[in-house]
Amino acid sequence: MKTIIEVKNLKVHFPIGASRFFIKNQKQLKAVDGVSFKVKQGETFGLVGESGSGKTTLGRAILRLIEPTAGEILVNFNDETVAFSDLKYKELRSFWRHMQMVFQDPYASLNPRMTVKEIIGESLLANNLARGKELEKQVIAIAGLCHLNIEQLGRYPHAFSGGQRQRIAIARALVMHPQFIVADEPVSSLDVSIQAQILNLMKDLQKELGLTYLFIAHDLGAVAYVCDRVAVMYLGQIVELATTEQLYYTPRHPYTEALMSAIPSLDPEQPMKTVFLEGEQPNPANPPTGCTFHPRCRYADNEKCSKESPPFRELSDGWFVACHFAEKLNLMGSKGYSN
Amino acid sequence: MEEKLILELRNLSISLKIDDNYLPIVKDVDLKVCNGKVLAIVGESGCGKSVMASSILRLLPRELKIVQGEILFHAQEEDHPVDIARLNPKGKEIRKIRGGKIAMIFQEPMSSFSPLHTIGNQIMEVIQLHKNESKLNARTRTIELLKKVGIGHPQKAVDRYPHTFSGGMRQRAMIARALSCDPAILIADEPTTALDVTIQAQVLRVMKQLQKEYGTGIVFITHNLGVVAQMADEVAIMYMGQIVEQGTVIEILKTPQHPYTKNLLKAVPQLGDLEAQKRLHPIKGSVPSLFGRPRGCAFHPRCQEMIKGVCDQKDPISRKLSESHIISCFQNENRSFQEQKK
Repeated sequence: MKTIIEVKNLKVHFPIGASRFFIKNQKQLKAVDGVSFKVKQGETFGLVGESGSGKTTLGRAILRLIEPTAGEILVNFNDETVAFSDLKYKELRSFWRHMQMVFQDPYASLNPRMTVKEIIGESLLANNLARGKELEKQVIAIAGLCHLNIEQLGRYPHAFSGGQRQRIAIARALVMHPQFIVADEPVSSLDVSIQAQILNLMKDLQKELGLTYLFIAHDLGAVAYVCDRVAVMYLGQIVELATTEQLYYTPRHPYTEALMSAIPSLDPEQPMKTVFLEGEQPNPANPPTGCTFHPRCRYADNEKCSKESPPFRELSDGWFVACHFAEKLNLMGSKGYSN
Repeated sequence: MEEKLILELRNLSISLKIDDNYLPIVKDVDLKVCNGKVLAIVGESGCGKSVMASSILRLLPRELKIVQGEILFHAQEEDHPVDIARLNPKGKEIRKIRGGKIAMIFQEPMSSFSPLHTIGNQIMEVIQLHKNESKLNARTRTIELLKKVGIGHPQKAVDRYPHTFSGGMRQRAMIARALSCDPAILIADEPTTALDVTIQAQVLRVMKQLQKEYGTGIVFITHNLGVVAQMADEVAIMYMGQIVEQGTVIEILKTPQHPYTKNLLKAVPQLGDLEAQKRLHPIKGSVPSLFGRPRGCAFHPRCQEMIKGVCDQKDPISRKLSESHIISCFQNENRSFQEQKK
């Protein structure tokens, strides 16, 4: 399986506080701080973490909707690896055809003054790919694929429910026949019964069209259901990256353990063994020294963890973790202790 | 702890008034809350669960009217229950109950504190108002409460403004405010929906501890079935303003009887076996609009076990399956009817 996107040491820093001309060291908020991973063609790559951990910023930075501060993004759509992060703004458009985004809130991401047909067809028109009859044909084909009612395409977004709007947003992303889609919390604003419809639709489309997803979510249940591999983010860094089974059942990073053990079980007779995180998530503008997780970690060793930042290293084939003691700890997964 | 009935909703209906028409939002709801117990109310958005909750405190907007039924509050001191539905929503009696004997936690921790007053002042206000305490005593009590809900450095936190608190801290401060007058009932309207899982776990832990300590009855409104499984003693499932099924948490989650409950449980991704469930089972269609309420059982257009000529014609009547398990569906009725015929 070829690598479709490779991110190397990506950083997105935002300047904070008043900027003054003579002061060189302006304070930086490190929203994404040195993230590396590869996404393979045809897989769903999950990105989870608490709010404020930088998952949305990372998703947008990969598409260069936010300019990365440093690092590299390599893309490979037509069997040719291109340094996407070095492209000039004018060149971006021909690549954006292959990479699209589905936004979180379908109530805010659709223009209320455009009909659904116009919304879906807009990018085709803008790229001069189709017009007139041909445009209509393509829009209808995509709308059908996303289970939208063809007769309702002349309506405006307000006439649709949340689930239908999210289908419109997905149709809009798909009309360019992209290979890679960043889905930023696509189901978090929807009801449970509708969530299942959208997640199933995304899975079906992936199979049919051979799509690759970057699936950003904080709902760990939805992530477990759609993702092949998952990366856990904490304060702008990836702390663990593994296959879904590995990550959920046998986590190797203490933060992953806390996340997994906090998922409420659906069985009322099985009491939870939650690992509680004490304290609050630190301010990303002023992260702790050493391992950023050490003040809340119950395994932290004050000597090492507070001073040395743990490297993001490969434990076994494709299983990455950023913890000094990953091998020594016996951690609990979503099913309780692994041993 | 002795189990005592403290709140009872009887045949409660709430309607939305549009011009001269009344549109039912909550229909014929019967519920009971006992002290020291958690009653979870589960439903999709727009099913009327929040409206029902705010009606208990008479916080409904003007357009929404209680058209039928009683909200009986059994206060400890009095022999006769108070019918909250009959009180003047702006009167003295309800203001005594609201915030004092029945407290509420709202969904959005970001917007439920005034940004212009310190957290401490907003909690002290409640204590001073309901308990007639001096300012100093109220302050001491506030610090105590903040400590109890696990906020670090409560002496300093009491003078901080809400914007300096994170979402989880604000939600815990809200719990502190709600519990400041030892309420008999706590209504929690989606208290953890806006929070991350790890913070959610903290908030739920605090609520459980306090409930044990004070014996407060909790009405817990949510759509997260995992949270229900971990928190609730009893569960009521709502669909389009009606309670379609209610019972103990084990009855509802282990042996659900209503098709809607069954479908809801199947639509949630479960972590038990990642391999086994490759596909979710969504409920077909979506919740009908309030204006297009289907005839008969409101769920019948989406129901897979619909009986033609019955479900789309008549309203289902609620029946008892066991002492605590109540269901409102024709399905089992028919089955038992057929069994009788044989």
